[in-house]
Amino acid sequence: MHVIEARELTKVYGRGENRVEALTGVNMNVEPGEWIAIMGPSGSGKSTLMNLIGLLDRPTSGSYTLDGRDVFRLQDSELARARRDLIGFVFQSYNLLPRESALKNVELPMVYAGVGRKERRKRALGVLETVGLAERAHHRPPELSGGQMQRVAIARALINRPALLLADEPTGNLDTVSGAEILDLFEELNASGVTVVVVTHDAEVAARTRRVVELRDGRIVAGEPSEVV
Amino acid sequence: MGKMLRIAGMSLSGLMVNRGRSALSMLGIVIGVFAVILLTSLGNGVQEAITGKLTGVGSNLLLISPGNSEAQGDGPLAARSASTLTREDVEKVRSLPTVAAASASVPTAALVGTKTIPMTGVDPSYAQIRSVDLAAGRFVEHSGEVVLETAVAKDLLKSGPKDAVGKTLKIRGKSYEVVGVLEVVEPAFGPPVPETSYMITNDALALSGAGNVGQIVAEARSAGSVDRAAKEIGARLKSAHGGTEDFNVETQKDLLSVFTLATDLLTILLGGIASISLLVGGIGIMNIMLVSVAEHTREIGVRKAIGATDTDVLFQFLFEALLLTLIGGLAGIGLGVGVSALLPEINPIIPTSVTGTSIVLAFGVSALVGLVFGVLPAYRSARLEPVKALRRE
Repeated sequence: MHVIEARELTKVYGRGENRVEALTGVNMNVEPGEWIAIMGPSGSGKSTLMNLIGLLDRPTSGSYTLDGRDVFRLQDSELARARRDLIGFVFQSYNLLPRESALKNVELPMVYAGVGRKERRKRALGVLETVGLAERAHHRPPELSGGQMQRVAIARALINRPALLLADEPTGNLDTVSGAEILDLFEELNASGVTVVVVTHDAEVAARTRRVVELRDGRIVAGEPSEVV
Repeated sequence: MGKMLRIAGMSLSGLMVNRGRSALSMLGIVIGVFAVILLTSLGNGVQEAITGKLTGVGSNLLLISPGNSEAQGDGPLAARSASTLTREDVEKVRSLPTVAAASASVPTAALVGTKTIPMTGVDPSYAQIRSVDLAAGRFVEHSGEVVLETAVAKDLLKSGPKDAVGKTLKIRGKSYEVVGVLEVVEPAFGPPVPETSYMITNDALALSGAGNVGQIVAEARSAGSVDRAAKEIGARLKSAHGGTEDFNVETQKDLLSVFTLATDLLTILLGGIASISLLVGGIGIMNIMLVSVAEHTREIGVRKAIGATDTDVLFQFLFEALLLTLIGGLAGIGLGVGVSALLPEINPIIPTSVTGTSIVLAFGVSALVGLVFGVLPAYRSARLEPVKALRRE
């Protein structure tokens, strides 16, 4: 079973003269345990593709199956639950809640999933341990370095054991050393079985992955066998 | 349940971050609820003061007025000119077993020198029935005696109450001895205690040239027999008047209900005025919540990206508005109850009475204000699209 199975995904913004086709008939399969980069220059449609894959936005047409579920026709609330249970997001600017401790930030997705307090704490500490930040659990984001904040964000993304870890330019705000450490972490996670998709324009980041899907002008131009079929 | 509690916790920490701003927007609700509590407590206080005074005057009191006749309008003139009550009626009322005492009441005016003073002709028992207080002397008992108001005594005789007693007045050529001077009547709520001087009924009738008495006041034997006395008086007078009911028998209860209606209206009016400030406070809450939602757009996007549903976000901001108004409401209630308790200490004339109903109402209304004015901002936050919300810096 594919983690992602996208067929003829098309996204159109605006109408009439302002009509822009950001994505045109994209087909894409991602298998469990893959470690993929989606690459392309700005304006290539990679952000649009990430938003569609991450269920943050709806396609204009096409079909999309995530972890065996047809998510195309889901209601807003069902989409929210699918994001919660199936996807872990990692953003370029971390997007942590600045007033809450690292621990509370990691617990947040479990709050929405309705997990009890003790269980939340136990699991959050466990995942913080995995990303190597157990001793920083009670620090707030402003007291952490960029690399540490991104580790907290990754812990938060992993907490509900998602089918897919989706990262948008995860090293974009980091120095080379911290960036490399984050990529090391992704590699470790992938080795332990987590499916990782990284959206980036950085060739060095892409070089660390096992497969690179290249986008140009809203179409996949390389790295996707199903596109050729 | 635990999830909702945690979301409410988020709302609370959201308020704590902007403590100053939260407190300021809460102030609107505090003042609104405070005003509602205080003003309704004043309204209730006035009502209780009136009720208290009325029962103090004597709940045994019965007033028989001429009525249902051709005369229209109120006041002594209308009553006198059209009065259907006679001196014999007074005797009949007095002779009833349920009636302890009865007196005529003949409103007239007396010309003393160049001055006209209001004068009422009554029977000696009037002093007891209406609890008339005297500053000096005694109440009228015989023809040729008058009891004056303090102001009238001072004006006519140029003397204080004590010195006035024993002096003589000439009214229409007839001499009257001043046997007493009335206590100055404190301005207070209660049935109309007329500002007038008193003489014996027959003297007043002779003076005014009227044949009938203006009004009969009677006292029932006990508070419990008031209704029976009213019925007996009604039946007795009806048969005496040849079967026509050309009079009204009013009891204290009737008077009370009139005043209660008036003060109820007063309370509602005051409460209504105060509600306007509560409304303004609510708009303040809505304003601050809209700002809060706008400020947290990106955070809302993040929450949605990691799995918060529209409902989760809606509740977070709705709770925030509710917390603001409920905390503000509690503070307002505390302040209102406190000031209500303090006011009579400062000036005993100001009557206040906080009722449980007004507290529950104020609390309920402030919760409602939070809901109503919180819904729009909360709904706006819930409908934010995650993609757009995340893009916001």
